Amino acid sequence: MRIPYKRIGVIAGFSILLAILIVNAIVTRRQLGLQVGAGSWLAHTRQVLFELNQLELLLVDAEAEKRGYLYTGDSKYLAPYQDAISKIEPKIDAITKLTMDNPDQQAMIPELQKRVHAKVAEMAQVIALYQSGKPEAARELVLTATDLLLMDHVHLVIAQMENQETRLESLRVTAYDRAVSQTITSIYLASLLAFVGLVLLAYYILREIDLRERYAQELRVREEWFRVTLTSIGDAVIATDKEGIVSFLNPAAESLTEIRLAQAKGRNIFEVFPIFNEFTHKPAENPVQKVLDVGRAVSLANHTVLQRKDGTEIPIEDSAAPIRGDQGELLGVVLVFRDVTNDRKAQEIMRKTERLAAAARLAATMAHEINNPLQSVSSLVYLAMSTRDAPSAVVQHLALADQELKRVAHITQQTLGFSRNSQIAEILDMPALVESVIALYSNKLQSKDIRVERHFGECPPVLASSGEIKQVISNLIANAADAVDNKGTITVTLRCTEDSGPDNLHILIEDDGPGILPQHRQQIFEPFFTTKQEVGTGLGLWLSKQIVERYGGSIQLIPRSRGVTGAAFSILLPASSNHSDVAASAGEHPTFQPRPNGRIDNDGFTEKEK
Amino acid sequence: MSQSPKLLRVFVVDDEDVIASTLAAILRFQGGFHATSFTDPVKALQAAHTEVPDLLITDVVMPQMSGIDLAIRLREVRPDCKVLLFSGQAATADLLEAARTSGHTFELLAKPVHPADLLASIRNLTEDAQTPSPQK
Repeated sequence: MRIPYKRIGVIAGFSILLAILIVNAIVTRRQLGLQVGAGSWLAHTRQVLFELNQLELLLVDAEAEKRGYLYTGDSKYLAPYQDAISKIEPKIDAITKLTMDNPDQQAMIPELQKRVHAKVAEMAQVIALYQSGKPEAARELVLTATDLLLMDHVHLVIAQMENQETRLESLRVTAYDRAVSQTITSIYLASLLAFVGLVLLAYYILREIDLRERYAQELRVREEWFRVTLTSIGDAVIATDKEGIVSFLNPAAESLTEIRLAQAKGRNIFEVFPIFNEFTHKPAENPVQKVLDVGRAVSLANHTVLQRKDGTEIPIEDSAAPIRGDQGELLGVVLVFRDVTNDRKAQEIMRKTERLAAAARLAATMAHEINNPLQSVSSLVYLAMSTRDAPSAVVQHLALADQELKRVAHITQQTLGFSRNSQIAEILDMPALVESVIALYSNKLQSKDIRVERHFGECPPVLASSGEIKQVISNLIANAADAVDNKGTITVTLRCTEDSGPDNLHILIEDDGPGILPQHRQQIFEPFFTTKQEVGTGLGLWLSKQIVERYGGSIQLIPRSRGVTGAAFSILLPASSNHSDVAASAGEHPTFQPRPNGRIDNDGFTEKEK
Repeated sequence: MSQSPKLLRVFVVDDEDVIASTLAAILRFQGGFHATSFTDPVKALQAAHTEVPDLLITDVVMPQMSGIDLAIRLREVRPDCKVLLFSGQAATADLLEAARTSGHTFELLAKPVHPADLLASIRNLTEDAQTPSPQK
């Protein structure tokens, strides 16, 4: 809008200048005309003066020749005399013509003619008398003073006419000078106007150029800013023209589509940004097309995947919006999208965590409700078993019932563990702890004829809750026992390995079962992930990981050595640096006795330490 | 099990009578203790004024009074009385922590506690009392 307005301004400026120049030309031309007129009148006057002077000279010449002839009688004077006389009449005619414009001079012409004719006649008479042989009569005629008188008359008339012309000349000189000064003034004036106009116009144009340059500079800065912003933005951005032809991709878009900007430029958006429904795998409606159709911003449908150049698909989310010009006309479409793979994972984890929390709350409530009756039944069975004289068959049955009750108690204990009550750390006797866990599974191990190999090296002291660490070992042994075939082997190694450093207890639990499938390896520590659909809760390894990490340790699945099949879990637990930890721990709980190591020799699982 | 030179007097408190009375019976018959069961902690506290319990075994979450409060108030009367708490609730940990910050620490067993383990714990506690541990 501003540019045409300015253009009109410039055109108007030039037009005004042009008009000034034209007016100047006209005025100057008119002035020159006037001046030339005045000049020609002046020349005219001077011509008249010249002609009058010539006439006078001719008469004087003729008079001189006449006198020469008279004095000498030599006829050679007659030829110039005749010549002068013959020129007199044309001169008078010329003067008559020249003074046609001037009535005053015209009025003088007859007088002039008369006087000149009188003089010429007198001279002709003198010459005629002389030639007819009467030189005395001729000389006498000359001496009668008529001769001089006539000449004086002519002089008088010419002087009058000259006076007249001189007066005119002075008038005309003034007029001419005035015309010249007017012409000069008008030229100066017009030039001044044109100069001022030019200066103003030049200033205006220079200022406009300056403004435009500044504007262009600002535009460049803004363009750079936009380019940098679009390049740095984490979301992928693709811009197209109004035909859906790609004009820009930022680096994020390049990496998501795996197509470089140079290759994508000029191609159709459908080729660069092929999207599909995640489930039906049908091509999804392209948002760019939709924006071009409806003319406003749209969001991508849910469950949209982008097919990359290499054929892999990534879930994406986002929107497209029209790019509009100043007049609101559609210039193109900008498409913004991002990879939501991580968001999906985060949502998945969130869902799992929520499920876990809900399960934990439910489990805690259930466990509590079960614990009281369980306490009663457990005590009653114990009492019944202890009854004197009870039949041995009954005692056997009661012993079985007692075993089963221990299992139930174990389950409720483990379940309550999810909503953790604080556990008091103590120095653990790891070999004894491992043995107690193996003892717990002795029935199962025996039924599958599983061999348990123990490699108990020197263990650094570890400060932890025995209940929690037992839970970890128990989970791993139980998994191993489930995994191995009949007559399989489970290996438990305790040591301070050099690679794990002297400050870590390294617990290695290996089995020779089928091992863990590669596709499951990433998920085994996730809550509710289980391959034992019928019996597994999917919480064992997850819980173990939580416990181990709480103690600053780590648990991971490691490859079994020497190409042996099976799973191997490696646990690192930081050793307590010295016994001051124990002292400090004991100091906080003065009424607690740190338990003597190895006390957990019976079924420790029904016993929560703290 | 080792025989104590003196018959220890034990108070067993649980708002569920079956639990309190069966545990008391076990302690009497298997542990050889002088065990009394209470379903109301207030009554146990009153009894402590006339009798001298050596050990209090109490549930934690009870309607009349919490086992921790009972233990604290009983100790005001009988400072030498040992205490064993047992609870089936995770929330107990918070109560215990609250008690600990106010200077009272107790040993806690989780329900269900197997009678054999309970006897072992009691023995442990009372033996410590008779031969003070250097660790203490």
